[in-house]
Amino acid sequence: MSLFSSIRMAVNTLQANEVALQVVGQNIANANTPGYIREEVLFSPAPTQRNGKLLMGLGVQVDAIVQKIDKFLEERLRGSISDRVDAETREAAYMQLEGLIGELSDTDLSTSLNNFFNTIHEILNQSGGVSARNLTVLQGNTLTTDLNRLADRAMKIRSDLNDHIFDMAADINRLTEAIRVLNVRITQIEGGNVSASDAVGLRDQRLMALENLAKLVEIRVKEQESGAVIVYSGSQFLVFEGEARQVEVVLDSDRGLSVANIHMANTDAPLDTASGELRGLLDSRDQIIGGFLDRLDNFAHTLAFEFNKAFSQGQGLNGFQDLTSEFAVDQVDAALNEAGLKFMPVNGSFQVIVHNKQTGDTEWADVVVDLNGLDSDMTLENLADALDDVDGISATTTSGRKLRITTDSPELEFFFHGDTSGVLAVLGLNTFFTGSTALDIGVNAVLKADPSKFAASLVTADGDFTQNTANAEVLAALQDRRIASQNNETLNVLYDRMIGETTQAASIAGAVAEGARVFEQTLRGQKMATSGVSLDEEAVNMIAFQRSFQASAKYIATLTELFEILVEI
Amino acid sequence: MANIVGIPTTRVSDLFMRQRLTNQIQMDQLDAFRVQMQLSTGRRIQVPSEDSNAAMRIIDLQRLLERKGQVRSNLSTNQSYLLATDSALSSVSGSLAEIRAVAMGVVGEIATDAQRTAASQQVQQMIRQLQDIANQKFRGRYLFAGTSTTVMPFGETDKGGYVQYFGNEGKVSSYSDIDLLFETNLHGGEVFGAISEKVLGAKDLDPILTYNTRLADLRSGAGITRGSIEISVAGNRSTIDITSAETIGDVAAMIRANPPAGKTLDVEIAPTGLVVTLHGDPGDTLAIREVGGGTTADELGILTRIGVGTTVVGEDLDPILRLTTRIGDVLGTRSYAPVRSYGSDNDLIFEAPTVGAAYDGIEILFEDDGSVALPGDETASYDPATNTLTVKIKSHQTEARHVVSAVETAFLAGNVPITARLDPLDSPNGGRGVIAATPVGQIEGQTAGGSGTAFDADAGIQIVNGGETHVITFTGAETIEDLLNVLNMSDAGLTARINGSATGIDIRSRISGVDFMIGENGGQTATQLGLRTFTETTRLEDLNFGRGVATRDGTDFTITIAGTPAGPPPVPIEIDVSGLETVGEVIDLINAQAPGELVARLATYGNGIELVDQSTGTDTLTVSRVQLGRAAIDLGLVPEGQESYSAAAPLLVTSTTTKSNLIFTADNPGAEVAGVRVVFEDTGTGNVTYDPTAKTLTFGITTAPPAAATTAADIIAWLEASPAGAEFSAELDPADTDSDGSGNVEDTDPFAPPLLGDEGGTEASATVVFSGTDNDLVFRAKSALPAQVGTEIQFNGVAAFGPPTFAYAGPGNPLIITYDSDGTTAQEIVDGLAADAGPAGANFSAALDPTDGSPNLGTGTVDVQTSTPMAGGSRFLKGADVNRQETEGIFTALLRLKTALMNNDLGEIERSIALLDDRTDKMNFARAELGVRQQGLDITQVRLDNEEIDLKESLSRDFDVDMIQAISDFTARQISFEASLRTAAQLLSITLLNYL
Repeated sequence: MSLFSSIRMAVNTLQANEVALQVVGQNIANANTPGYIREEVLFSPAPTQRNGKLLMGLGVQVDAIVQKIDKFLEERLRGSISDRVDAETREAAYMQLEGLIGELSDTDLSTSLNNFFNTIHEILNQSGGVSARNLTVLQGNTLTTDLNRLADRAMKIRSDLNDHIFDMAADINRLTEAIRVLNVRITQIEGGNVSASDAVGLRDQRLMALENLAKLVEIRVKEQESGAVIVYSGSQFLVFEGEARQVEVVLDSDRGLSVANIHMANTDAPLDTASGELRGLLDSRDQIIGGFLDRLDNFAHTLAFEFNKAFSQGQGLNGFQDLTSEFAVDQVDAALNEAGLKFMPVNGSFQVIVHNKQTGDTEWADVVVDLNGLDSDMTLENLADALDDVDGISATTTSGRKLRITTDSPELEFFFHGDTSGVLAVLGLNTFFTGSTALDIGVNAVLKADPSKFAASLVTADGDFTQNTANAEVLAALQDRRIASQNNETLNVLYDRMIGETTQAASIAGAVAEGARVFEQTLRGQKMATSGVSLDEEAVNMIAFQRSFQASAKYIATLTELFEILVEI
Repeated sequence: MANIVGIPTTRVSDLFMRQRLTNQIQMDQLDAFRVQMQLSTGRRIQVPSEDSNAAMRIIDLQRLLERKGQVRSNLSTNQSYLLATDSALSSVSGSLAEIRAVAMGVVGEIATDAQRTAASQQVQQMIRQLQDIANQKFRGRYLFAGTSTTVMPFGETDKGGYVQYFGNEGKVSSYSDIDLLFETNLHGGEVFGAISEKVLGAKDLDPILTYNTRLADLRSGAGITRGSIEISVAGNRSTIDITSAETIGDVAAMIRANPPAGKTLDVEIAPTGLVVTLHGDPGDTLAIREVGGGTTADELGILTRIGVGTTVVGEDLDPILRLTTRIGDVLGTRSYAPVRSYGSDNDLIFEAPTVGAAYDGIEILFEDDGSVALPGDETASYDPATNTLTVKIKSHQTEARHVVSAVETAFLAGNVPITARLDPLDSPNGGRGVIAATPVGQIEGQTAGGSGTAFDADAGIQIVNGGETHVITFTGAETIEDLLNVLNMSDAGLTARINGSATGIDIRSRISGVDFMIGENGGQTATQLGLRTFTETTRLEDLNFGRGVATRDGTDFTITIAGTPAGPPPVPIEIDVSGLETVGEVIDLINAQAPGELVARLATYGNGIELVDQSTGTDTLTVSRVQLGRAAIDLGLVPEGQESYSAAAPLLVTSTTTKSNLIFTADNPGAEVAGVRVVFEDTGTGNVTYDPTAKTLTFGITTAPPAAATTAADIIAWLEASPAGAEFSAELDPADTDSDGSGNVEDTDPFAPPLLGDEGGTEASATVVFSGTDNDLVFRAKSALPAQVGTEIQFNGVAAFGPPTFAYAGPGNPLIITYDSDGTTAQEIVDGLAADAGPAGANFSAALDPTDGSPNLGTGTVDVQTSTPMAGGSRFLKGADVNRQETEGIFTALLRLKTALMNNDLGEIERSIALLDDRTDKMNFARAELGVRQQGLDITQVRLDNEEIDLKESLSRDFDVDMIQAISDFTARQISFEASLRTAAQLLSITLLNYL
């Protein structure tokens, strides 16, 4: 023990306090840096020195500068971020959808639907007039245009979501690459846990990268002894220490859209993530918007088919002279229920009425639509032959695999009646709506050109089939008629369910997103409680280290005085 | 309301504090903004997800309001129609009462003709006025046209100025609530009685079951419940689901395709029901049961009781009549025989071309005698002697379709009497399965099951409407709809349709003010269709427009018949119709008086009771009233105002020269042509004139010089060439030996020219015209009895047949002549019939028609055909139709009243006034109903108003913001926001550094 060694000890103390002050400075400097983890300097007493019988302390030494971090909390926070971004993505999708539907306003689809059916009431009010029928055709056009527009816009949202997913692969790859590089550098700098100190800045950057990655996909992070982290998503590695696995976009076709899905580049397995923005976007695209489009299509499909089925039973003020079916079959010699039609006909029959406008003479004919599955079932060709056998009309299949029926002379016209097979609606003969989805539903061009063909009449006991409005009575009430193929629900209920499911799900998505936000905020609060910089706390530390430094300096001054005394002796 | 985020319990970092404060401020702003939005829009929620439950309620309420809005519009529009209808009718009742008073004022002896004429003009004026009202249009809709709202409903007929209705009886409906339809019109029928009551339609035409008969049309239209049935044989079961079946053919095919394991089922669609036959092991029995308490098997008529054996014969499925029902499929069943062969795609059905039992019992054979070299060369022939149809085939190579083709060809050539077709249940590839020859001593099948009588399309019906007689025939009609088309398209002013229970046909008249009747035209067509207005079931009390038949105590009238030659004068037959209820009972009573001599029946042409005198004496058939009893008049047997009515003797116009006697007959039956006088006047003009009013048929003959004198043949030719030829014909008297018409005719006695009877007294006769010359034949009954009247003569040609054969099975059956289609001449027919020892030869004779060829050599060949029924008959007396129908409406009442006033016909005036009263009551009833409807709509309107208020209130509760709440919320938010800002500012400014 000597004065020199005491001075030496005091210098160590000064240096330790300098280090501590630098850490305080670092913390103060990054007090407002997002993602910054508060650092702490760790002191320990210097080793003991034997001097004769005495064992003497050698002052203080700086053990390490470490980050104040709760790794378990970080993992939970990343999870909550994934959940929050997932929920917020869905919430945003629903918000757009709700805006699109515009329900509760006076211009929504339900109003359009009601207006359409209301115009059929006007046909009843003005029986015999063409103007009311024309109004129904026009309102039908508005309804179908609204459906088309809604479907088109929903598809646009779906397409935008898809583009977003397409771009996401590059973001994931960029982040995993950054994490891989940081892994390498942290390992190099920290020397594989040789150093007690953390590669703080790099770790901060890595934490930030992980957090950003968690926004995109749900990840689990495991830190190795080397300081490197392994990142999983589901059962797949994204980063394994110094190695990053790339993802790539795989294109597929779904509901008329070339959809992008993200797969692992090396295994071609889909990137399996339960939350995060990717999950949110995928679900928004496929389930929220896609599901809505499915329901909208089902609604449009049901509306078109059920309305057409009822409509095709009726007769207009004028009959047809040249009529081509709306829908084509895949093969003219295939049974009609296996010919790739959008709707399905069943075993049944219908009647054709050929009417001579000059003489008033009528010719009725039964057409049996044999689809009983036992013998040779009816094909489009057979149907054409059966119709061709009816006096006064000719029927052929066209090169476009449709059915064309024409009268044999200009004074003849034909009508249909009593179709139990649904084949008229299926083929689009004497129908109101064309198309089978929300996107392609429209009003039959034949009716647009001649609204008097609106089939408001039904054959009466008197044999009248053009002068009454009995079919309009049926059509006007169709909104409330139970539909067997839709679990006996009505068109109104179907519509309410479509809107209700969207609304309910949107409401839930909003609540889930809010919950996720709160949870994340709570976890962030907890994280900041551990890792955040408090300037007041740093000020206290700074004063403490300053005082310690001042005391050590005073101690050196005292020892220096002792040296001077000794020198002066 | 912003969410509350937990605050860490340990330490607070600066960044945390700043972020939290920022968040807090944002949340406060957001909340304030939300309330501000509520305040500015007045709506509690902006998008449905803000309160999804309320949003769904809102959507529902909005929809209800939108739809109720339309209902209100429906109500106001249609109330205006009802109001217009009401106001149109409001003046009618008063005017009708006025007319009634006017009519009553001029009845009787005191009023002058001028007064009655004036009254009748007033009635005419009223008819015009009413027609204007009935044709009123409101908002583009004819108010009384039914659903034909664009057609003017009432117009005058071209002839006679009667009123015809062109509208229908449709009801125009609209919704007075979301699911409540109400009628918005009164049609011409219910207000003015513009369409007559239905004419019968009660006759069940009873269509047969075919492969394509729809299940919905079975059981009188009740249909078949689509369920499942279970078939079990010896413990093996199969369940057959017929849910998807549309036709009985589908059901049969499904049963056939799903037999219990190891068994085979044959299913036959018989004319009335299904026949299921089991091919199983010996001892197997067939059981058909319901599945799960269903009723399908029972409804299909094949539910088995215990111990049915191997065949289940289904019950009658009673299909309804439809427009597309074929006329050949009604009024009976066709004989048929299913012929099944081993394997598939080769079952055949042999079937008669028409209904009836005549074709039963034909045996069918497939014979391979080596004559068929290749499949496709098959031939079919028929042997009437053995009643066997033989198809020559090449065994195991001939396919079913070849058999069909061969039989079809032979049938069309007239060589075989029946046709063949593929069994639709076993023809998946169009009959390409092969056929084997019938083993010796066996047959393939035998036709059976024929019943009923084929529809008589050619005779047609007579309809009298609007004062005109329309003869409507249905030749060429194939379906019920063709038949309806003929009726509806005729200018008889009719509406014909399938009746309400879809078993037959209804006919109604659209013309007001005239008599309307439907009768026969020499055949049974009207009766077959159930359309005859005067039948044996017609009640006497309904006759004469409900006046009935007035009877007196004791004998009502007498009938005198010809009696026996050289016998004592016949005693008049006394008829007392008291206590009788129907026309049939009257006929039966008359027929019971002198069996074999006096026959009463319904008229063969038109309507009424016909008396036929078969006795051979010389007295004239006469009906005489007894002590002014009206029964004979009311039954139509004596004209109004006459004491008796006699059938004239056959009109034989004789002259002193030979070969000049002529027999005149009226071509059309009816009282109009009875009593017509034939007058030969020596004017030398050669003219033939017929004056229906004076009832004279006058010929301008030349009597000198003898070379230029008119002959009987001239008379026949003149008559045929003149318009009167459409009404009358003349023929040479066969009793005038070897008459060729070369004898001259003479002037008739100007004071007593011969009178024409109702029908000639000659034997029934029919002329059969063949193509070509020298072959037309005149067939005549050998007796003048009425039994042969209406007999058809059928020619069946069979190749290589030899001399013709004749078959006649008695009255009501055709005379069937089977001849060699390769060349039987007319003369051979004449000779063959004369030589025939059977009933045909005994009852009929044939002669060459002298008008065919010059002369008819009888060398032309005959061909397949069926003649028109034999006309003519013995002397008879045809009564008038006393069951005339009319359209019981206001226009009829007024038109009848107008005529009755002019004729001063008291009875008719009374009847017209009663009818007018009745229709006025009915119209007032319709008006009252209109009032009730309007009242109902008023109530609905009030209910709708209240409902709308309730709905809007409910909507407001969910959708509109509570302003007080929102404003106080906003104030609270504002205070909270201010506090938040203040505390944040203070917190951020306080730090330890300030104190260093």
